[in-house]
Amino acid sequence: MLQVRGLTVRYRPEGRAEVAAVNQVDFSIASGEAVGLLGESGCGKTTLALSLLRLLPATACEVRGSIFFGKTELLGLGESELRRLRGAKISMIFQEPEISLNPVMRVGEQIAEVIRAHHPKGRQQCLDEVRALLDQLGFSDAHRIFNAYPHQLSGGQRQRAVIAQAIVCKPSLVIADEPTTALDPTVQSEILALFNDLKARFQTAFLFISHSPAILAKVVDRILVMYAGRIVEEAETTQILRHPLHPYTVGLLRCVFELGDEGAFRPRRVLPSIPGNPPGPTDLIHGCPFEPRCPERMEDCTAREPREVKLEDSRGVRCFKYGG
Amino acid sequence: MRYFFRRLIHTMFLLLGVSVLSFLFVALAPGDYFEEMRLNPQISQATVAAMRSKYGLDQPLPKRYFRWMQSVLRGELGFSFSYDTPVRPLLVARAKNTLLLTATAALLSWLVAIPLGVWSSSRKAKWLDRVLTLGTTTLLAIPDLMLALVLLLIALRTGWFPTGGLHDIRFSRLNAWGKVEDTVAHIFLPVMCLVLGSLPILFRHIRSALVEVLDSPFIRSARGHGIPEGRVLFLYALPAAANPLISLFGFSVGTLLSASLLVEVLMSWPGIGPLLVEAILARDIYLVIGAVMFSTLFLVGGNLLADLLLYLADPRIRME
Ligand SMILES: Nc1ncnc2c1ncn2[C@@H]1O[C@H](COP(=O)(O)OP(=O)(O)OP(=O)(O)O)[C@@H](O)[C@H]1O
Ligand code: SF4
Ligand SMILES: [Mg+2]
Repeated sequence: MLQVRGLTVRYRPEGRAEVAAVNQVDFSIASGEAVGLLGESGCGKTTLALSLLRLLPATACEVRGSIFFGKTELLGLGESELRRLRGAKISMIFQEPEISLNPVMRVGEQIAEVIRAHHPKGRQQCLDEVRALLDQLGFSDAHRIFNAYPHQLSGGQRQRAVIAQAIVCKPSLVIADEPTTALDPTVQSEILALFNDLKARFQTAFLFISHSPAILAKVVDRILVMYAGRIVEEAETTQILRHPLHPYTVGLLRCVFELGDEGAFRPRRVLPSIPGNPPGPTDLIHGCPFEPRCPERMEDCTAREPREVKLEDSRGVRCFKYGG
Repeated sequence: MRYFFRRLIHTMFLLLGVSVLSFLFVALAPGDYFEEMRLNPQISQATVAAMRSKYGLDQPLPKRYFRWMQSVLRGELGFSFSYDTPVRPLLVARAKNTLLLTATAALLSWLVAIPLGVWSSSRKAKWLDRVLTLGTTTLLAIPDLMLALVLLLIALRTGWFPTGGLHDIRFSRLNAWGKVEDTVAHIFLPVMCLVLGSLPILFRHIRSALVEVLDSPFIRSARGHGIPEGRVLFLYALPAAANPLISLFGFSVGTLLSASLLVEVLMSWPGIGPLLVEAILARDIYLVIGAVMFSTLFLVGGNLLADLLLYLADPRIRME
């Protein structure tokens, strides 16, 4: 349903050099599939998500490649077509739910606005539909969420309001950018349960962005691992957890899990981190972008960037260990 | 509610302070209303002295202030020497005209400035924005006085609009519609002058307030949900920018009022402005003080209105 080929996004921040935040990215999402995008802070996850909705800030000076949504090339759409697509076909849950709601409009009204934006319905009818949706989602505090202004709600309530807003028009793809990062653990698992419920109920495809493999493992079927703007590994969730290929993925998993007796990773109590920092977006990269931090680096690794190697059907990796 | 009560007490003290200050300044100014009589050989010095003592001008300042206070409490606001009546009825008649002028000008300039400022803040209105920015920059560079004179000149040359006064001489014989028409024709020039003078500043503030809000994440998320641009601008961004704009409104009432006093004089609009000038020239001190007090009252009223609007507009303040 979504096919991204050779997507490159470059920023030109004021007074600084151009940076490629997303670099030659290929991936696809089938309808109804839940895909995770995993990577450290600053690797370009949000940029990738925003480019799918064509919502990049003005500093994004170049967007190349192709994004097919069904038969539509999103990079070729005009403003009014994009407006009709956003929220109705593809919608997004933004990274900071705290500040992505209108502070001076009641939450119920805001969700209803999304319906009104895409359907010629009256205000009252939209409000009724929102009420029905909140009930259907089983929010025990539906009435309160509906009538409150954002500042009166808790973080978890706001996050659920934002989720309701994203699914109210039954889009075929929902992008969720770190939807649980700002929440405490109990609320986090509530929200994850809500996503699993939504997956089952609405047959919506999800692109679920996170820096935590532990969270992704609970909701997605397949994981894309992103490093320095590139997708360095792609596999089914279970495969990634059992048998990660790319040294970066291994490092990420080590941060959260430890190797259990049966050879699979299981949650860790003390969290180490991968030594070193990812390359800054302005750093020139000659060989493999992970080379400076890679415990398994080899001679060839600085010569050029590894190409993607397809292993099985849905498995791919960019590392010289596997060819490249 | 408590808040408004506090504001009311504040206002009282402000008015008291303004009255004391204006009393002092007027007293410090050389000469008084009866000075000119003294130069007139036909009037004896004794008569002048008698009149001065009749109006209490020979009393010490605190005593005069006290007497004036009493007359304020009686609702007279002192006595005008040149009109030979209490000040209040004089001022009330003029204040109505000033209020009519400033309120019309405020309403009109905000009604024009809001849509222009909001639209031109949108990234999609590049051309409109350029034209408006150029236009308002030009307007801003023209002094108010010049603007008034140019408008007057145009009106005189074309004869399209009356250039002075509040009504035509035949006003009392006109029917209701004719009266409205006549008032509109007469108020047109001074209002135009005030609107053109305040529009550029309002436009710029509104535009920059909107540009700032349009950068916020909740606007991006509204666009991300496909909310149409017009609704994003007027239903999301404008209310979120309400706080600075409402404060601007209170401020704009003040500047409009002082501009309107000048314009009234230039275009002979029978408001407080010409009366104040006349009173100052004649040293009709209680009239001067009264006019100053009325202007202060307008200013305070504007700010109070702004506070009320702020309270109504922002749920975060309302819930406190
Ligand atoms: N508006 C912008 N202008 C210029 N550069 C930007 C802009 N937004 C992001 N970048 C740069 O692009 C790179 C990728 O940023 P992005 O926000 O996509 O990362 P992320 O993976 O979402 O990080 P996080 O986990 O912190 O949200 C970063 O290095 C950042 O500095
Ligand atoms: S290509 Fe080389 S440096 Fe890069 S991840 Fe593989 S082994 Fe490490
Ligand atoms: Mg991000």
